[in-house]
Amino acid sequence: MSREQLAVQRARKSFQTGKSKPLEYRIHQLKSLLRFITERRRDIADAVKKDLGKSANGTELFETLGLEGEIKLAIEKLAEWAAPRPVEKNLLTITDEVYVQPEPLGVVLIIGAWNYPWSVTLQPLVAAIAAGNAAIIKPSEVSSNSSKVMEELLPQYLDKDLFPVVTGGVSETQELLKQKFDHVFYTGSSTVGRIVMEAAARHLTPVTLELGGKSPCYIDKNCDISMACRRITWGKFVNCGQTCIAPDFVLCEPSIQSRVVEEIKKCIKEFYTENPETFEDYGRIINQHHFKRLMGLMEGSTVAVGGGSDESQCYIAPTVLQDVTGESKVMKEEIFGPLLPIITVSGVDEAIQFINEREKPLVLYVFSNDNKLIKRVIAETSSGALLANDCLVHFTVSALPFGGVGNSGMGCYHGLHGFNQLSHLRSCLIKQLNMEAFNNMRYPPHTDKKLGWARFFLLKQLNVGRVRRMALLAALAGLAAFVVQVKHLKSTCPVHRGIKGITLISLMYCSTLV
Amino acid sequence: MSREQQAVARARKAFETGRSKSVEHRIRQLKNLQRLFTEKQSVISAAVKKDLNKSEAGTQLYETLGLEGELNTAIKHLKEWAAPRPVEKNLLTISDTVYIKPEPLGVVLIIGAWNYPWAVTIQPLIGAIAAGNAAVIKPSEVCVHTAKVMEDLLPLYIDKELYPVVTGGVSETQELLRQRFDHIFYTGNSVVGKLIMEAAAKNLTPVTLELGGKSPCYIDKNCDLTIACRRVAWGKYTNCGQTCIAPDYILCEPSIQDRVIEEVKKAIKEFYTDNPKTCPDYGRIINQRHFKRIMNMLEGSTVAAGGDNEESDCYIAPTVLRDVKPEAKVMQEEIFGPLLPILSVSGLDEAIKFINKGEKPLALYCFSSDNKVINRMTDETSSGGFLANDCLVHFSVGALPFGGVGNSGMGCYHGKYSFDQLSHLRSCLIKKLNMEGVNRMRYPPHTLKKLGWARFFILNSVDLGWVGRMALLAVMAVVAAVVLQYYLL
Repeated sequence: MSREQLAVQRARKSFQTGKSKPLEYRIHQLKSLLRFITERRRDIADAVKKDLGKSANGTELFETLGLEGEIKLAIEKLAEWAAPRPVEKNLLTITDEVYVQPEPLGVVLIIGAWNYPWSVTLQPLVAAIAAGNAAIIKPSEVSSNSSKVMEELLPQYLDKDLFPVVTGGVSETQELLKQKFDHVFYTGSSTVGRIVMEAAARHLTPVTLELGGKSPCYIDKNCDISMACRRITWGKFVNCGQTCIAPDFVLCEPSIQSRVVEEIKKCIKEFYTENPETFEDYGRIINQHHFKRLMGLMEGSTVAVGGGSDESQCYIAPTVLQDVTGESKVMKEEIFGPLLPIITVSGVDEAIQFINEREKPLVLYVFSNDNKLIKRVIAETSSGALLANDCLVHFTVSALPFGGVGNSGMGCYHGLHGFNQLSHLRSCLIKQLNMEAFNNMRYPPHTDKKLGWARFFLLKQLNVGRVRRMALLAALAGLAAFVVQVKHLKSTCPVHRGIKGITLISLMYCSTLV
Repeated sequence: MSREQQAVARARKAFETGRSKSVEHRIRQLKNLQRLFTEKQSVISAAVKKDLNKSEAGTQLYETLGLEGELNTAIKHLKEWAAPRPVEKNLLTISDTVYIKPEPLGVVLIIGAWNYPWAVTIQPLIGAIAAGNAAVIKPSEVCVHTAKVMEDLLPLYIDKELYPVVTGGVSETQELLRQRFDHIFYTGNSVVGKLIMEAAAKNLTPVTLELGGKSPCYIDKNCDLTIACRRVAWGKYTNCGQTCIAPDYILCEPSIQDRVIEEVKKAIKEFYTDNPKTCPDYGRIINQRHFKRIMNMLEGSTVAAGGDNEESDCYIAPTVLRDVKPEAKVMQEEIFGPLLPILSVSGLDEAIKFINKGEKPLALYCFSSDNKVINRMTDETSSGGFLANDCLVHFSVGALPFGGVGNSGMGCYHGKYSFDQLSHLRSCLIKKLNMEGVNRMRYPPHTLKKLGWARFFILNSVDLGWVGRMALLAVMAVVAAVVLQYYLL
């Protein structure tokens, strides 16, 4: 039996003991995970520095802070998320218990990525644990230092059988994908995403695929270009552009192209100094393979800013390319690096057309003060998410589902969405063995009369909520009448005054509940 | 270009014009579907009678009534479902517009099944139309007459380009699966389900798979066996057992087996008369192949009731099998026919163990008056849906998501779930180009001080809903005090 098979088997056996299901246990594991991040901050930061050249503060800001937030949110909300969710009844279920019960799926496989190795590998883990599952964690071998630290340290904080870390490359991942899981959560490229889904299909395993694409960024000529470019610069060059939701390319009218180039140049200098190569908060390309890939992409395009590089360091300067066209090399694949192409379009019409000619991206950025324009872009395009007037930050709003559509992925997570994604939301209807007469309309022989009754009960839409509210309002009206009565008697007895006061206050409070 | 390719290309072109998106269009198409079911009821029933020998009333009760309900619900709630859904803000988004916008996916492929050909083919279509998509409808070729009626009638009521009906068998379906869709909705068996998902993977197309399995039915010895068996018999023999959520087999203690058989026999007689063959409300097996498959399953098991059959008519009587062993032929695959095996278990423990050995079923039934038994059953097992003390009826509760888990499927639908399943729920965050001061904490150089601020803003999850409510209560308290002062004191 292979190492991968063993890990999966152990996890499944452990899951079957029921250990991961009690809420106390899940919260305990989540708290341990939180301790891991706080106690091992140094180890994590060191690993990320070696992998991506990120500063310790940068690692905290862009990796672990968000993770802490997700863990804390899950701990705080777990009881609410995991509780049975009552649903609206109809005439036929009015005396029954009707609810949706979130349940664990079983054993989840989490395949992480290398660009934010901690964030994109452990955030799905938070959801998996919260939902009561066991999970195999397969960190990306490309971020080798982080992967090693995860393998060594995580078992010291989390249950080793339920949440094993399985490291390895392509063949180890293929071996894992041969096993049966109850859900596979993959973050990475569309190419591998297809392979993951195909493998999952053999076991009828549902998948969440967080993929990528070329996220367009449209800048309206009539907006505050200085502000817009500041935010775009930040969004693009964080982690050297190796962010799934980085603004991949800019679309704007030719009349503002030079201004955009100027502003971005200014911001690059402000953020990364005159010499980003020596600057602590500017990262590196993950490895030589990607370095070469990126340098190749620049072919045929005009460098407006940056362009410098150092292969031995996997360093590429923050670079802006101008007068790029749809056919340029840099437009043929997701850049995932610090090259920002600017493509000129005649206006928002052409921008929308350009965007729609391509695969649906993970995110679409629009910079404009014109709400009508923003609404048009939303109405006439599709993308995982849409963010107006900023970059990246929708990632931190846990009430928003984070995920792609079409080539950029399927499924979503963050906050409750992650919990739901890795749960089975089981419909439960608890009836009683009485009121059998009621059921006569459904039993053969099927007569027109019985059909008439069935029609009535099935088609009559009873808004039970509304009925309750009407009943409450009626009660309040009665109470109000009573108070008015009592008021007219103008009693000075303190008991009566007290009753009137309390009645009035309760009336007002109840009216807010309606 | 093949016929299938053309239909898909036309549907996509039609979708790209944007005409399926407006709420008015969607409601109009749904109302047209409503008209189809009122105007063509007899044509529909006639076809179903030829396919499955269902009576007209039976077709209405089990197929079209549910569809009418779904159409009514969709038409009534569409505006609400399609509207932007605001979400809870945090400290950083307090002045922004934050919402989820439901959007159409594009072109959906709906592959129907033959057992409730209208219900399982049109219900997903309702969701697809409501969500603003185009949809290619591929009815099952096995229900020959209904497929033809669908092909003839649907284009008379709904947009032919946006919602084409493409009939055919295995090779036509394979050709369809080579095209690119934005979602595939398949109802059928697990074997084909895997092939569908594999094909969908090539285009990164998400899928909803409504599959099947062996839905267990546990009968607690201490419950009202008469009523329990009545409901089980109805659940089992409706449509001759050809229901994805039919109770596949019974688990009960040996001490009540005879009584269960008696009660089921009584119910069979009450529903289907002494001679179900001549009863208009008792159906037929869909075709000879399935007839043979089901008859083969009888091998090795003891018939306690029914058992008679006639191949030329595809008739199999409502049958009960007793003392069935887990190794029996009838327990090796989903029955999907009118054979009801009874397996003895020593009690709830053994029943749960047995259920958990098998694949997760589409439905799990538990008949008991003891809440503890029901709670244990839900806690210690998993299934698509769970229904205590009745069969099938969770299907008609529009507020409950209908779908499987594990081998019984992925995704769900009915009511709003159909709409959401076939939509893209797009996260939208609309910020303004101001308040740049707040953003300074995120820009390099990354200092500890800035980090401290970021920590504050990101980690302090303020429940603004609660704050709002507290504020309201405070205001009310003040108003109450004022009122008390001036009017009552």
